[in-house]
Amino acid sequence: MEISFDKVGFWYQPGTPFAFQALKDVSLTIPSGQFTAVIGHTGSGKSTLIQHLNALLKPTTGRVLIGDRTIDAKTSNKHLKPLRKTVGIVFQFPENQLFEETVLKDIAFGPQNFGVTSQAATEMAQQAAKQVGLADELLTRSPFELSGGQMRRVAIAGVLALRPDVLVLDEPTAGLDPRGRRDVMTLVTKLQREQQMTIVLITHQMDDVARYAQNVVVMAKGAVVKQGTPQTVFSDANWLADHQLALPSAAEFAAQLSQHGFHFDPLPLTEEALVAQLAPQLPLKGGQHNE
Amino acid sequence: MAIISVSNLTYQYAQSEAPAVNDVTFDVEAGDWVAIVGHNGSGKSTLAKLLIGILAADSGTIDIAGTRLTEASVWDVRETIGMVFQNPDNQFVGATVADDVAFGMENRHVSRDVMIRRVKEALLQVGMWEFRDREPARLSGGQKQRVALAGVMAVAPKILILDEATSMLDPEGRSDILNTIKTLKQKLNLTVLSITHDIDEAAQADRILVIDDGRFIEEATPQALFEHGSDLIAMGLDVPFSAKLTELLAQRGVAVPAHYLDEGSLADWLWKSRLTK
Repeated sequence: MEISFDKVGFWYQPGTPFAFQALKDVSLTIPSGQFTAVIGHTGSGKSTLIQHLNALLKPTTGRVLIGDRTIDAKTSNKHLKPLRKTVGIVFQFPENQLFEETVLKDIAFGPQNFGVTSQAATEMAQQAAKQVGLADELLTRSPFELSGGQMRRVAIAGVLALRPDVLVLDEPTAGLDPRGRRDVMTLVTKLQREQQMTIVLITHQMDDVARYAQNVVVMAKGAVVKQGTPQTVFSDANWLADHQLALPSAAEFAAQLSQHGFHFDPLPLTEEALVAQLAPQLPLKGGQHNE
Repeated sequence: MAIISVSNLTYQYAQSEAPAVNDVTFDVEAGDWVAIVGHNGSGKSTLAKLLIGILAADSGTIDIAGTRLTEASVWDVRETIGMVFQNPDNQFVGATVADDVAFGMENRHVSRDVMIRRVKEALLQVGMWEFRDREPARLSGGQKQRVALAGVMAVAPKILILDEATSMLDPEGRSDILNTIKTLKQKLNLTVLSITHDIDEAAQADRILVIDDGRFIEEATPQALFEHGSDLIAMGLDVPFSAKLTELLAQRGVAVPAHYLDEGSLADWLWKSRLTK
């Protein structure tokens, strides 16, 4: 499902001395079935932006088109509930929101809230648990006995159980160990590739952006300052530095090597792309020539 | 003499089937930086809790700066240790940055004059003095951890324990706090024990202890440990970028260095290698 923003402005506490404009004239499109990454410095408006994706916040000016729904300042708060099911948001440190006695009950809580029978909710929960790779024997355990990585997966399963068309994740790998990080990113890409789920990922990990995203939205001070493929966004190192954004490790290393006579075109963004261009410029093992 | 000396330490949680820390023995010399790594659930955090007496060991001993850790000595022992935890939001009590830094000293009945001086010193040390009147909640993650660090430094500990202190920060916040700690360590000859799965933090250490299922399975310098390449994932660490690259180049039959090199050294090696082509 496609979501687009049309000149969206958003103020926190408008009309008070604390009024603060968190989004400024934001226009963008999140294409259906694709992987979109949202990057930007802390305080750039990323979290405010994603709360507009299922009308948790309504624009103060402009409008948001979510599938065939239009949300603007005048939209009534009634009838928004179906949107919360279609667009699922996994907030930062979602394991803080776990509360049930067992893992299965926790995952089934969402569907039950949407009026699904308890039996159907349990089935949906079981399926979601399978999707995120939680072993069956964990389902009867208390969520609080699990490791950090497992808790994170339970929380994600709780959102997946609603079978959303769009999955939004706010820094889903923060605080996990490298193996946990890799597992979560593999899961998210699988949902996009195999089920054509639309993915929106907020992240500080430029290597993940380079590896997984098809579109990148760069936010700064409440505005969208760049939109495009990773190749476009990462092509201008000076512009990135001005916005205090890092290059992916592979691009950074390629830039370093370029100063020593190596040549790269286009700029490689992943290790594989870097090695593909680098290997022909190096001698082979045992002194053979590599032509 | 070792400033931290742990011998045959074992601890098992009441509900679990196996010990979380199992017969662990190690020493840390004063002024050393030691990293303890391991995947989630390996027993790292339990070990940290034992070291500062939040948990009491089932068996084994801990000596900190020459004092045996017991129920009676725990308060004295904690005087010598400062600890920075994982989540910056869980450790603030003060309404302003300065109040927060003063909190640890208030608990120790430090006089007001001394307190005011030490708050200033500690905030200057971590580069947060200009934020002294700000609300801690409104700071960035990296700034919050620097304030937490200032609170710890204000009571002048000999040992600094970092319990995944950088894992919730963005890359910028992470390098920020690591640089601050590095400077403080050199200046004050601190002993640093960092429990981490961040490869950059582990690389700062003089040596790394790898823990798995509650036992130490390896002890090595960062240089030697990073030779493990993709096996590092199982140890709860990421593979360093330069090691990933070396592995991929080797797969293509390209001549690569025989030992682990960090990014800068690998870049040097590669451009020299290119000249021989």
